[in-house]
Amino acid sequence: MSYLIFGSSVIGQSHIAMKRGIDDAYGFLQKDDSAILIVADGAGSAKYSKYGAEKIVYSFKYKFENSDYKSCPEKFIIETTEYARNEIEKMASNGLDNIKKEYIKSYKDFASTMIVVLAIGNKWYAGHIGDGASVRSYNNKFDIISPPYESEYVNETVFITSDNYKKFLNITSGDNFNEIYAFTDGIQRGVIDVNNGIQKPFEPFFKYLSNFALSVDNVDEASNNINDMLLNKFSEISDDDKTLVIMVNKGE
Amino acid sequence: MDKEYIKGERLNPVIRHPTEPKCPVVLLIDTSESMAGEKINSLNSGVNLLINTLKNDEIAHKRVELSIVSFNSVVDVIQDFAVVDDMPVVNLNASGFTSMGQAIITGIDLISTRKEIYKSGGIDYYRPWIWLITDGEPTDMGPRNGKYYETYDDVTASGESINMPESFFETWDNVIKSVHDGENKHNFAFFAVGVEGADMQTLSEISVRAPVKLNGVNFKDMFLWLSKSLSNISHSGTNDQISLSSPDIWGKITPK
Repeated sequence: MSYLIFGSSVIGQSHIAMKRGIDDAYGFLQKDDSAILIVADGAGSAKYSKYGAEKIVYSFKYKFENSDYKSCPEKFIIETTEYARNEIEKMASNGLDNIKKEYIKSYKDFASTMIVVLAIGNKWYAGHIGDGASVRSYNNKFDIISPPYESEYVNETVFITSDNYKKFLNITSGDNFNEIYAFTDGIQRGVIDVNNGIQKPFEPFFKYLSNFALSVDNVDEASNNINDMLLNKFSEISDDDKTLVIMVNKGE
Repeated sequence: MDKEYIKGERLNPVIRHPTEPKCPVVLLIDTSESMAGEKINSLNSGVNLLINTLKNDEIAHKRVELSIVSFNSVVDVIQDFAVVDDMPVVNLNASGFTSMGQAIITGIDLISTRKEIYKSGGIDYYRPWIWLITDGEPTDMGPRNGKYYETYDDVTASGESINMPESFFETWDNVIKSVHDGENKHNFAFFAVGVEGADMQTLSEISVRAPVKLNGVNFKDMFLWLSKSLSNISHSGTNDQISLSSPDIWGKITPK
């Protein structure tokens, strides 16, 4: 079993205007017949959210490499989410190399959403807190496997640092996929259709992206193409940071 | 990739810039007789300043949708929700009584209808604001334990003293319930601003938030503050909850 994983993050215009760096983070790893991808979006309202997002990515990569994720993948996602939250709380208590602990008011300064997709063979498992989404492509059909947290208002969501964050951790799983797309809310409005409260992948976009993903043989080049697309095609959709990561199932 | 592969404007011809999350605001403006003169002139200048300031904001002009409701003896939706680009110069005149209760209900209804349009079109939005500006007290409603409970002097028509209709008190009950429920359920945020002469006690009973007493006729600074607050909200991405700055420069918060 092998996978191709590629993607990119770009800074949003609003972050540039506020003289704020990019707060999205992503990462991925492959091992044996498995792969993991992580996408995290630090909250613009939280001072050090970038570090919270990076800690989530690091935590899942670390646990993927060093613990048993196969015997119960759902448990792995729950426990690693708890681990990431604890690591964030520790970071808030101890400070960072470049941020003294006196400057940190609360671990909520590190607020971030998270999307994790773990693939084992043809099976997939998703863990999600907050907005953004992941979409599966299988046999030319597209479905949202991990929907955004439903809040009526655009600037209100939940984070790994929220009270009762375990309640908001949405875990889903299923068999079979050709590709999985995970993305932050920066592109969500352009690629998810919502009609009368029902969310669906915007098919023209995902058909195009699926054709592109299946033709990829060089992941660096593909990541550059995703980067260009995020910069050039989504700038009118949102001025927020934007991240899109794609996992392609190449089979045996 | 062509643009049509991304969900775009063609999806909702009714709403301008439909891919931008909307920040709906209703201004409920008292245009009763007592507002005549300097107050209404300053208010008109302030509203137009708000519109022009938002027009010049690269993001807010696409996201803030303003609706303007004037109320005197009648309630008039002089501007349904629209982005500020589409707004003509506002020139309100003052006369008549103060149908504040019906104006508030109208504002809440406008928001409810607008939200349905957003939802059916898949358009994201921020929590709506209702912004009430008045220099008087309502003449179309009052509490059952208030000064109008026994009788009501109709001073305009015939000068006769008449009994208050039940609807006067029902409107009050309805307004209080609608505003308080709306705030508690996070349907909207309701702000009340009292101009010189306003019944601040009544405003504090209507509004869950403490009302603000305007300094003189300083509508200019109030609307600049409002435009700045709306800009901050409309510039925020998802997840960015905004704290409002103190209104000290233009008014004084009246403790509840």
